[in-house]
Amino acid sequence: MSKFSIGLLVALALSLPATQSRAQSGVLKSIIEDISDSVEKVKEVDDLANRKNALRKVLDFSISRTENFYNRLKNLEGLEPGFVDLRESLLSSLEKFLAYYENALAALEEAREAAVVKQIGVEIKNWRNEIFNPGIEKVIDFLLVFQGEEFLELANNRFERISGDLNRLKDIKLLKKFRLQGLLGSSSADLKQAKELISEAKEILLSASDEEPENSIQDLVELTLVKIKSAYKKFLEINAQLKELLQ
Amino acid sequence: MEEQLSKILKKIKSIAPEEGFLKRSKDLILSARQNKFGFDDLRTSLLESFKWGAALTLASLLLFVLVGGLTYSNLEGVSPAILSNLNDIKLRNEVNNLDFQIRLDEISYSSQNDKAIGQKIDELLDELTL
Repeated sequence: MSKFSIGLLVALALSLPATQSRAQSGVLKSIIEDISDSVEKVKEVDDLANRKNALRKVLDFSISRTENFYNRLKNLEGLEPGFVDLRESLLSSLEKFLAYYENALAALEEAREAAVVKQIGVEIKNWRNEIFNPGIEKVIDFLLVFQGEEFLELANNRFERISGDLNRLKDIKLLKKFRLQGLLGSSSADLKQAKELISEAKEILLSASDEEPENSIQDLVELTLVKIKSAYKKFLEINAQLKELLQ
Repeated sequence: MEEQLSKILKKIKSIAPEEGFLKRSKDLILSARQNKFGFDDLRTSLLESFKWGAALTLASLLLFVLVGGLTYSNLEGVSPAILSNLNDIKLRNEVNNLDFQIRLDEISYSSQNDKAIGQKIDELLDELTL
């Protein structure tokens, strides 16, 4: 599989809508399988061509993934000033990562011995452990928090609309004052908790501290999503009860 | 010829009903019930028309209600704005719900997937550099 075809497949897989995650993971899986096959060939015949081919595929795939992170980060909208600066810093890191991979790729193409290719692989592995992986983890956390916040805004908008509709029905006496108030209040509490959780996650993002936080960003966003889902279930319950009341 | 004809016409002209027939016929005609058409008759006629009209209208309404008009009037009669909002809740919730849930799950999935792919690349590099 060539660099171009890996790039094309990765771009295709990552541009698929969220609802097509199975197709996306299917494409990514096939790319990884192709790289694994090339690595197996090195185990069978350890020569320059096989080593170069396998490492080239690893680098091409890594470049595509890094470009994907860059684009996802760049496309985030409506960030508050502190987070715009943080995003710029992360984008700058990603540009450096891409430059590293491109240099490694150039060095690989110039290699004339299998041992040199192996050494390039060792250097890439160490660099990933020390520099790339901690850096990309920050990018993943950043994306996770703002994706969670985007959904929280959607849920809050939905709450406002439903709340407004219920008030209008009460105004024209079609609905008794406190009917459905319990469900509405409970969904409001869910969304309030979700906001607190996402705020905590955002504070950790901005924190310069090296100390491990009590709750990880991943955990906080997961809990936020649980609260949003809970609120949404109540919205549906309100909707179902309204239907019965008005028929 | 003309003289004969003139005599015949004079005889015909002199023909008159018998006195008794004339009197019986006159009595019969004068004793018969006369149909007068005054204001009362006009009012009665109009009321009859209205009765029919009202009956037809009521029948139409009944038919309307029987075929489902009652449900329509319950909501639509209240406020078209309210109804449109309720429809909005109904439809949007139903349409968005599935997509919303999938997208919520997708956030976690995407994050885990990113990490898993990174780990796989590290594993492949490990195998290549053994």
